[in-house]
Amino acid sequence: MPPAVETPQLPESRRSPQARPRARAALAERGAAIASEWAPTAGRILLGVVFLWFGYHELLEPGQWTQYVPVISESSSLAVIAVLAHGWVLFVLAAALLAGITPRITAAVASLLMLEIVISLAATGLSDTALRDAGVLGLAVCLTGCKNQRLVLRN
Amino acid sequence: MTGQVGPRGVAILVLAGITALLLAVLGWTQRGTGPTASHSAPIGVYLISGGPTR
Repeated sequence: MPPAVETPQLPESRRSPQARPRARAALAERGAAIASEWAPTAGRILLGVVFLWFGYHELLEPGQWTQYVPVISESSSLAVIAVLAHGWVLFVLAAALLAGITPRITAAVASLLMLEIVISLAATGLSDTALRDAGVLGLAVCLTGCKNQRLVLRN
Repeated sequence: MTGQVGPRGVAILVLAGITALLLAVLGWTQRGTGPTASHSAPIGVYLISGGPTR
């Protein structure tokens, strides 16, 4: 009886002409699954970093932000208090976004805050900055609708 | 609301709130000492001068 000849196992991508596109599709599907799983988390953390940065600067250097306060004179103490209050809200929201504390409610509050910023900027006529912040508002609105997020602080 | 946030969440929010309050006190005491950016300056000028870009 002749000895059995073992055929070497080829990788799946070399077995048939259809196998390579199938493997590519599976890889793309896997990438899409990872993106859909982690993209809301990445967006939330990046939005948190933006809020933290602006909140920190509004709190430490309120005099540089009073020009954006609508209606009130920028040299008044009331404008400084308004900026400090705004910075405080931004800072706490940033902590909630970064830690993943009730992410959808936090994103909803962030959306309202961004809407206020966009409206006040548009009212003062800084359209380029207002449009850029409209993009951040879009991210916050998008996060409000994301149900499944990773790195969320649970009870 | 507290039930949804949880004790750890409340702790983080309280800590962030106190930190922000301390920074606000620091900002209030140092107000008017930093450089001011012109309202009509374009974004590039804001960045170069180190002022706000919002």
